[in-house]
Amino acid sequence: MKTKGQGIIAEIMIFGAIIMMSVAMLFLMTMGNDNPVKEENIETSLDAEFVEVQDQSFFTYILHQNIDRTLESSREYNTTVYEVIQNYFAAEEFRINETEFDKANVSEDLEDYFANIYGETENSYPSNRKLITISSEDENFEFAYNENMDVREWKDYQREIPTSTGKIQITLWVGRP
Amino acid sequence: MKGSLEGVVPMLGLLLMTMVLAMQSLPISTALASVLGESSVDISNSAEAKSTSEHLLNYYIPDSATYSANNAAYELGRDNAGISWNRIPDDSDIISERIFETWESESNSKFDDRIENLNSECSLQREVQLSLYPDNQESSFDINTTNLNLSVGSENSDNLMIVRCSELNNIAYRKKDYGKDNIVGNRYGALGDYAARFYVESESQYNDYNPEVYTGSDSECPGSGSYSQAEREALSSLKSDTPDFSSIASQVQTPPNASVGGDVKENYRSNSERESTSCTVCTGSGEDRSCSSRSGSRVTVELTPTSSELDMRIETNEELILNGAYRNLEIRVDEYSHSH
Repeated sequence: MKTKGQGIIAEIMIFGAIIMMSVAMLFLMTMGNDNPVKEENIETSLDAEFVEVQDQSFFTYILHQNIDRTLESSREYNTTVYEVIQNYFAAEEFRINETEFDKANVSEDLEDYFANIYGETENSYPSNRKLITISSEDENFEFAYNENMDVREWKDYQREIPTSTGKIQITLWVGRP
Repeated sequence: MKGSLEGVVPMLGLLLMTMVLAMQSLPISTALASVLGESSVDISNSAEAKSTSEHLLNYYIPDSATYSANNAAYELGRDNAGISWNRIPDDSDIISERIFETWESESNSKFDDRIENLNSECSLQREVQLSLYPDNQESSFDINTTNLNLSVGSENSDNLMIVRCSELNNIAYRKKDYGKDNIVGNRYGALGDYAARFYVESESQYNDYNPEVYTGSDSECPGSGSYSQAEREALSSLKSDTPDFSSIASQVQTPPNASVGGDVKENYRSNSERESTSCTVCTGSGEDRSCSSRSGSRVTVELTPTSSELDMRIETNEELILNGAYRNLEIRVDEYSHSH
């Protein structure tokens, strides 16, 4: 014997189940799993990776600029920062393009250059704490920027430069707030 | 028809679709997140690999090559150019070639050390070879060579230089990308060519030279003849007859902007003989004059040349950075000896 209205009752029950399952799925997708956290992680990860790309270009950029254009002194080297650093560590005397310079003046000019180039790239490059270190067997240099900024993590990039007696290492340290 | 289940079927379909979509959305979003994360890491690694390998190929390798060639020239130049100068061939080109090959080999050894000691994120996956050649159109160095060309090549047939920066980041550079010539003002090749021609000329002059026995003597009466005076006389005679530094150097063209100096030391066997002499010595005058026989001696020294030692030093007038200082490049030869 068939009961009247059993189809409608089943429809209502299934409809109710769909609504409940949909709500449950929505809950699972939004609250019950870690998707929002994952999205945040991905964004942070993407930012970090692309900032590293920017760091690399910044490092290459500052090493291969003509040093003269940011110097306040009237000295003209007419060459790149890379060449100046390499020649500084090459011999006891410092010569560029057959002109001799006092080494004390050259180190002042390097300090001046890095201070200016950090400031110059402030708008196009994230404001970070930066430090350039130049290490050789005999002498070390440090050129810092944004020294008072709190740093959460440091990332370093290295380049080795051959000299007549060995090599020196230039490291760019980037501290992220 | 009342009571049928036909209205329930679409609802069942909807229920199934909801379940499938909801279940699928989880792995898809996870997979997308993972792919995106990996891609960003890949981009970052590629950027690092590219900038590090470009620094390696455009700066580290050419500069290392230059310093290796300059330092090798400096060290060999102070050590007889790294070759033996005894029994040299009579063809200066053969000697020049030996000097050049020794220089290139020493440069490569220093260059290899620098490449092996590289402390970088990236490394070269194949052996590299440093080649040296003159900047002019000649196939070998001559005295007019003013610059040195350096070229770095990969020792494989396809001339590809593979730079490996991480597990998955191998970058291949073709010869035209990395094989840029590096020209430096190193004139060691010209100095070597001069040294070769100088000593071939010295061999020629020594071969034409017929050594004799050179004699000097001194006598005193009364008294004794001086041995050293007799030897000086004989030696002066020997030296005037033997090819000297200036007579050899005058026959060899000096490279432009270079200075040459040197010295010859003659080795010889010495024999001496002393014979007694007598003489009459008179003193006083008039009635007081008296004469007596006195004894004296004559010494004779004979020198027989055995060998000539010819030292030569040639240096350029332009300074290079050599072993940590600005210096003139030079070649000193102090082991050449010709037996007569």
